[in-house]
Amino acid sequence: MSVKKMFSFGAIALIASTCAGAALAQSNFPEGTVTIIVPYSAGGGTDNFVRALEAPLEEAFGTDVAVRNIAGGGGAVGLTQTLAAKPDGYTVTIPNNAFYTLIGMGNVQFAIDDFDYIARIVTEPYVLTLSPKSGHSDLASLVAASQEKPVTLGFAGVGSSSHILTLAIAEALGAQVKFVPYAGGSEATAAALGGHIDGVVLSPSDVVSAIEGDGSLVPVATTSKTSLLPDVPTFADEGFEVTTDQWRGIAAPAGVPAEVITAWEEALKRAVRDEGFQTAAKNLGVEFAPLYGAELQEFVKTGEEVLLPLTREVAGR
Amino acid sequence: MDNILEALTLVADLRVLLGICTGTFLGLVMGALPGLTAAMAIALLIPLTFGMGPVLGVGMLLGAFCGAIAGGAVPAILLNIPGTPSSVTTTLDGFPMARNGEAGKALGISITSSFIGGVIGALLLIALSLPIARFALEFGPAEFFALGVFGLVIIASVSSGSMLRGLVAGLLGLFLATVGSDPMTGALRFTGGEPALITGIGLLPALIGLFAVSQVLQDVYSRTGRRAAEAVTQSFDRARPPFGLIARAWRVVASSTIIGVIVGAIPGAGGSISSFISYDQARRMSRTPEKFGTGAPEGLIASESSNNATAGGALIPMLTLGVPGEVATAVLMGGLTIQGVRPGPALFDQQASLVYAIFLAFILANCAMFLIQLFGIRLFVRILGVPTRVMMPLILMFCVIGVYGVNGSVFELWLMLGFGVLGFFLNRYGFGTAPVILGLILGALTESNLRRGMTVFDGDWTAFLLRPISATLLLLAVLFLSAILWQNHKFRQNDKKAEEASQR
Repeated sequence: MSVKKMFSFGAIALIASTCAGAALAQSNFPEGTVTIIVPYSAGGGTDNFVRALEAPLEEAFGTDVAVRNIAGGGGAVGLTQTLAAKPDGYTVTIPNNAFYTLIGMGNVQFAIDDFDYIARIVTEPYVLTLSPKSGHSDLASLVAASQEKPVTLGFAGVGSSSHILTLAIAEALGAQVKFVPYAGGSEATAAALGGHIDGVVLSPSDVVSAIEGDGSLVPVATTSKTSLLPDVPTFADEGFEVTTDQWRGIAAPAGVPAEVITAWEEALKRAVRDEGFQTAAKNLGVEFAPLYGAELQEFVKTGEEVLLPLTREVAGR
Repeated sequence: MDNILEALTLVADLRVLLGICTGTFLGLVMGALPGLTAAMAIALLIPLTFGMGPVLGVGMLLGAFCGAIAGGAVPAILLNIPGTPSSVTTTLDGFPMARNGEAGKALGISITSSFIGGVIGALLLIALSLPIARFALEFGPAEFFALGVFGLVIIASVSSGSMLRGLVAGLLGLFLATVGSDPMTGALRFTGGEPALITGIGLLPALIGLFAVSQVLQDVYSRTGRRAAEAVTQSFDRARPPFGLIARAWRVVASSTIIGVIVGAIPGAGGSISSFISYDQARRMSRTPEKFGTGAPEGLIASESSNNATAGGALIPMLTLGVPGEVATAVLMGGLTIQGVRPGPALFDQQASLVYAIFLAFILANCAMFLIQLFGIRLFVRILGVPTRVMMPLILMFCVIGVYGVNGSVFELWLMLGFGVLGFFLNRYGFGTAPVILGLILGALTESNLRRGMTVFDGDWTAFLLRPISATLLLLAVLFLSAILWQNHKFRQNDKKAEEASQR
C-alpha cells in the first residue's frame, strides 16, 4: 500500500469517526469494508446500477465499499453465496424480480423470507414493443388479431422476469400468445426488428435505440411511466391491470440487527442525493423511486403474490 | 464533409491518440492472458473512462476491443493456448509453425493479417453498415439453425487426424451444450443441483481448461516421462511484416474478412464462429488442404484476418440499430450509455461527427495495435525462452485468475480443471480439443433456434428448408460434406492402389 493511499485511508477513518458521532449515532456500523455482491457479470443493468452507487455510498459510510460480481445461473449463484454470509449488514446483494422468478422456477433452495430487505432505490418498467412487420401498432388490433392466429412475443431468458411479465400481459389482455425465449435482450430486439416475431417484452433501455429511424420498433404500452419513453401510455391508461416493474435495491441475509438496518437507510438516503448517481440513473433510463421500512416490506410481499404464481405457471408448462 | 472534418479535429487530439494507444496496449495484454476476453477487457476499462468525455472514452474502449482480439493470437501461436475464444483456429497452424522454428514468421503473419482484416472490416463498417445491418436482421430461427448446421461441417476441417475421432469430440461438445436449463421450457438438464450450471457450461472455463490447463498437464507428463521437450532454435530474421506473402493469399484475406464482418454483424451468432468458418473456407480454397493443421500460413491468415474483421462487423448493428452484435459490444454499449451516448440510428442524425470520430478512432486503434505488436515481436518470441518449469505455473496462475475474475465462481475453477484433464486425454488419443469447443458453441445456437423455429412456424419444419438464406446454407453444408466424403473415399482408393503397386 502506498503512503498516499494509507494517508487517504487515515483521512477516511477520521471522517468516519466524526460521522459516527453525528449521523450514525445509534451504531458503529460500518467499521470495515462493506461488500455488495452483484449476482451477474460486469456490464448489465444491475451492475451499472451498483457501479453508480459505489462511490457516493463510500462517501456516506466513510468506509470502503467493495463490489463483487459472482455470476452464474441467472443470479442463483451470487444470491446463494450472499446467504452463506453472516447477517451483519457487511455483505449485501441487489434484490430484484429475479428473486421471485428463481424461486418460482424451482432453481434455488432459498425463500423470499431468507433475506432482509433494506431498500428499494430504482425501478424500471417493462415495455411491450411491436415489430414494424407485425402489422399492428396498438393493443386493440394486436389482441383482435391474436384470436385468429396467436401472436409471437419474445423476451430475454426462459423463466426470467420478462418471461413472467409477458405471461402476465397476455393474461391481462386476453390475447393468444406464443412465448419465444431469447438468450438476451439484444437478440430478442434484433428478432423483432427483423420481423421474426411480432413483438418483445423488455426494459425500455433494451429497445429505446431501436425505436428510432425507418422500420423501427413500435412501443405500445409500459407497466409504468418512464422518462425514456415519455409518450408511451401505460397498461393502466389503456385499461389493463399490469403494473409490475423491475426494481433494484439492497438486501442482506435475514437477521440483520435493527440498528444496522437504520445505519444502511441513513447512508443510502444520503448517497442517492449525489449528483453523479442521479445523472447515471437518468442515463441508464431507470426511475429513482426509493422505498424503505414497512412500505418496502409491503412492496416485496405484493411482488411475491403477483409473480410467484405466474412463475409456477411457466415452470409447470 | 463538415462532419468528417469535425470528427478529425475531435480525434486529432494528443490526449485522444494517447487514450487509443493506452487502450490498445492494455487490450493486447489482457487478450494475451488466457481467460481475459475482449468483453472483460472493456468492462475493466469502463470505470477509467468515467468523466473522460465521449471521444476519449470511446477511443480507449475501442482500442481495448481491437487489442484484446489481436492479443489472443500471441499465446495461441507461442504456447498453443488461445487467449480468447476467437483465436482457437489460430492455434491450429500457428503453434505448429512456432514448433518448426518459425515463431517470428508466424507472429508477423498473424499481426499483419489482424491489421489488414481489422482495417478492411472498419472500411466495410463505414461504407456498407446499413445494407449489412439489413442483411443481418434477415437472420431468424431458420437461418441461425442453418448456420449452426453449416458450422458443424467444419468439424471435419478442424479435426487434426481421423475424422471419426473429430466427430466423437464434436458430439461430446454438442452433448455438453445441452447442460443447463432447457432453452424453451426452463427445465433443468444435467445440472446435478449445481446453481452455476443453470445457465449451462461457460465457454470460458471450457476453453481455458481444454487448451491451457491440458497443455500444462501435457508438459508435466512429458517431463516426468523422461521425454524432455526438445529445444527448437527460432529464426529471428523474419520480424518484418510479410505483406508480400499475405498479398499472394489475397483470396483468403478477402473471403475471411467478408465472413468476419458478416458473422460479426449478426446479433447472437457469436463472433467466435467467424474464425472457424473462415479457416474452413481457406482450407477448401487451398490447393494443398492437407497442409492445414501442420503449419500452413493460409490457415493463420484466415483465422486472424477474420477475427479482427469481426470487431468491425460487431460494431455495425450496435451503431446502426442500437443492438449489440455480441458480448464485447454489449459491454461497450453499456459503457457508452453511462456516458450519455446512446448508440442507434438517432446518433447518426444528431451527432454524425461523433459517429465519424468513432470510425476514425477504430481505424487508429487498428494501426496502434499493428505498431505496438510489431515492436513487440522480438519480446514475444522470448517467451519461448522462458524455462517451462517457470512458464507452466505462471500459465496456470493466469488461467485461475482469468476464469475466477469473470464470474467469481469457485465451481467454474473446478470445471476448468475438469476440462483440463479431459483435454489432456483428448489430445493424447488424437481426438483434438477444437471440435469440442466448436460443438459447445454451435450446440446451443442450433438447438435453441430449432426449437424456437418450431414454435414460431407452428411446428412446420419445411419452413427451415424454404427460406432462401437457410436453404442456401443447408445446401452448402450438404455439398461440402459430400465433397469431404468423396475426397476421403478417393484418398483411400489411392492408398489401396499404391499398396497394391508396392506389393507387385
